[in-house]
Amino acid sequence: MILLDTLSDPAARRTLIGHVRLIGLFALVFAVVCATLSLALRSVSPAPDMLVLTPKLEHFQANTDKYDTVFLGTSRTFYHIIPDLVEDGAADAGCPGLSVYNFGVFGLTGAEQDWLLDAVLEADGVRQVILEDPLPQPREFAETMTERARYFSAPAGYDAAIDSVSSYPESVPKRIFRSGIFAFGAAYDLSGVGRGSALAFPEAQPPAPHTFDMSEDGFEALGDKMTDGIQARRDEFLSNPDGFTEALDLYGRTSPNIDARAAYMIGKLRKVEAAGKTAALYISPDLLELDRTAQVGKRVAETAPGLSVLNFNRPDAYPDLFERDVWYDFSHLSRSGAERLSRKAGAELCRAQTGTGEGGVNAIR
Amino acid sequence: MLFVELRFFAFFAVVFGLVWTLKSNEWRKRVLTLASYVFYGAWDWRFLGLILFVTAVSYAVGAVAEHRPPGDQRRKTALTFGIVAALGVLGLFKYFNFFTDSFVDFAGLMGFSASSVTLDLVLPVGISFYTFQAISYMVDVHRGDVAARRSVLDVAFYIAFFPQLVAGPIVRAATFIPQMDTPRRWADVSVRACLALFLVGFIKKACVSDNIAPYVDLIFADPSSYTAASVVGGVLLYAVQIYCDFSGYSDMAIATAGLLGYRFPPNFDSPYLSPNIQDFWRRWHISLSSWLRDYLYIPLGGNRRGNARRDVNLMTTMLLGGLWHGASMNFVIWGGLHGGALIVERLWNTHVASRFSPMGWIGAFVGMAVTFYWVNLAWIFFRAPTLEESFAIAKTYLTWSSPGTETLPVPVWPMLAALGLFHYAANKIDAQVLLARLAPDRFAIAYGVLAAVSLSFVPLGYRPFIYFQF
Repeated sequence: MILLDTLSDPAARRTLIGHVRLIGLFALVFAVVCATLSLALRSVSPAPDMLVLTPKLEHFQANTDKYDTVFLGTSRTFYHIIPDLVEDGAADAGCPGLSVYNFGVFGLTGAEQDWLLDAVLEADGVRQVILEDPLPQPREFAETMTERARYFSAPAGYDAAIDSVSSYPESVPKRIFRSGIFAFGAAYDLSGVGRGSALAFPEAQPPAPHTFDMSEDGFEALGDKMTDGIQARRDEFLSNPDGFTEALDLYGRTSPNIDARAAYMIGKLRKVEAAGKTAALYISPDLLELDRTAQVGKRVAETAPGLSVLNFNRPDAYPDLFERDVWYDFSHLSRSGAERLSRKAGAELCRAQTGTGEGGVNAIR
Repeated sequence: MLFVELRFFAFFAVVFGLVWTLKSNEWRKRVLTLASYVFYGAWDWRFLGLILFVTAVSYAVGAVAEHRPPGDQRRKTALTFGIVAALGVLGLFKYFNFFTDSFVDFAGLMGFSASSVTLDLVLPVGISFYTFQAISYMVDVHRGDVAARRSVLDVAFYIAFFPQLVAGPIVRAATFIPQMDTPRRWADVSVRACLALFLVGFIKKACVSDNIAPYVDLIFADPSSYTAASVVGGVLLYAVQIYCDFSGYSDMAIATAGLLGYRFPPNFDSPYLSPNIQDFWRRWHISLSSWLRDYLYIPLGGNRRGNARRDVNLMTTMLLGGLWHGASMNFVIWGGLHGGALIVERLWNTHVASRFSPMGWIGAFVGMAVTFYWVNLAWIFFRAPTLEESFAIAKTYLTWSSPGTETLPVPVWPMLAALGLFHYAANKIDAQVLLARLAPDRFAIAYGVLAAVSLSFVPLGYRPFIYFQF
């Protein structure tokens, strides 16, 4: 074997070490130039046009005086919070005059939420911000290579991403796997691939910018815009009635790392308060997260009694939200479910504002 | 698996490590043959059967030739059988539908009715290339240019060697097979030259061709919407795209083989600087044009039987060369345009140019411009999806008129000028050689910088190499 011969021959060994040194030098130069170039080109590149996120952000920034209450979260905010019904629910509970904005974005990660939260906190008109527990980060390696994921893989977001990943209530191996996905996403971004190309070779026919129908202040019922993925989730839900019952059994079980996640969310809520606005945590009904988000909401309420927690992921407290016919798939309510939830959210929000809540029994405090 | 994909780099790293770790030449060949089948199977493992069939036929023909003296009838029969079998596979997968449809159309023109029988066959990647390599082996053995291989592994390795398997260069048996017999020595590998060539090829393919492709696609998809200048610009861009795509692939293939210790001949030599069409074919896809010359044009009689026969041979070779690229009238016309130009050029040289003294650099420049103009006209038929579209674009190209109002982005024009200058400069200054001459430390640094900058200019999303479809 040539390799073994090489290792036993001092001259050949020196040659091999020389080769390894050169490869190391190449790798170092390559990495440094990639990262430098990537960061420089990022700074002169326009922000990507992101489905739902960009039009919602632009609408919000153009109407900062219009909204005083903002729900900021994942698809369980996007598809569950109907602003008009939240306002009605609050008015019926004695808090008229709310103006609610649904700032839900499907797949919202911790880093993305932090970035959007900064934009929300800049708006003078906003009085209260209701945050949903976000996703830790993209779930798969392939998802880190989307334009949106890449945009939020910037070094400025490393802290937020690491906080979100490390505090997520799941086992250590899973968090290590997610750390790998995070590292891959960061490396992909720093490689700079495509950045020079996008600037030097402009599209001859740029695609039309993404739009979003704002007639419901940011809400969209799941299934109104059908995709193959949504249809598949719906079909899976309909064809597996036992799965619904089995998912309900998750409630009451606990997950690892709940304390860390509670601390993570408390940190975000304190940031809202520090900006002079009222903060609340919104825990959405989610069958697949009954052992996780419900516990996080409970722990936040216990750890920081001064913070409002709207914990709806509790079948015992909200049985009418856990009837199978108001669900669209295992993680999302249908429009009728969203209507029920939104009225309750308005009412609970009002109780939080007026201090007439029932001490954690019905979600508040 | 494309040369510009991350998984290729991982694949190559493993193969490279294994090959240079093994001492035995036989084991190296085994590993490389197996790796080549893995490489090919990554596209579609079902078509491995075709390569194995062509390999078996080639081996058998070689075995017969080895046991029969030159001129023996069985030896000739075996060669005929082998070529027919190899071309039969190619014909079935590539040309069956084209010829049956053409026959039905022709019968209709003659007043007969015939129903078309078409087969829903997928074209196996690289079939045209490995078929020609197999024919090269059979013919070279038959001619006695190379000894028949006793080991079927050698034939399998020659036909399937992954750097050239799917898009060439078409390496002659007489060129490649002698290299198998002696163990490749690491000391003979010019690592820096190979790495530099690979990077040059990578830049051509990923940073130039793939970035230009969307503009070309737009123009050729709807030429009537664009101004004449934009359509002509689109044609010029296609000339750049196909050159960078194919020569980039060839560079990477030659470099990859070089890193494994095998030498391939060059496949391109600044073709757009050719002063005439004959010269163009000495510089463009050299391995195919020389293959056609040696295995088709010369056996047809070449230029040994008078001018008329030479012209017929030229046109036949170019038409078949066109058809080799694909089963469509567009490719036949492309070949016909080149064949016609070669004949006109011969007539010009014989009857006109010979009466005047050479015009020096002015003549060379005019010749280059006319050649480039004609080559681009032919590219229109090569690229356009239909015959009608080809004629529409050709009309705009020739008359400079179009009803369209849309234009290509302004940066396209300085980019085209810059690419033209690069092509000219690359002929004068060999960047690969300059890079390879650097001292090891400087090479590592320069390579790191160039690779990083190149990566930034790689557009997101891979495009397959154009010549994979052939």
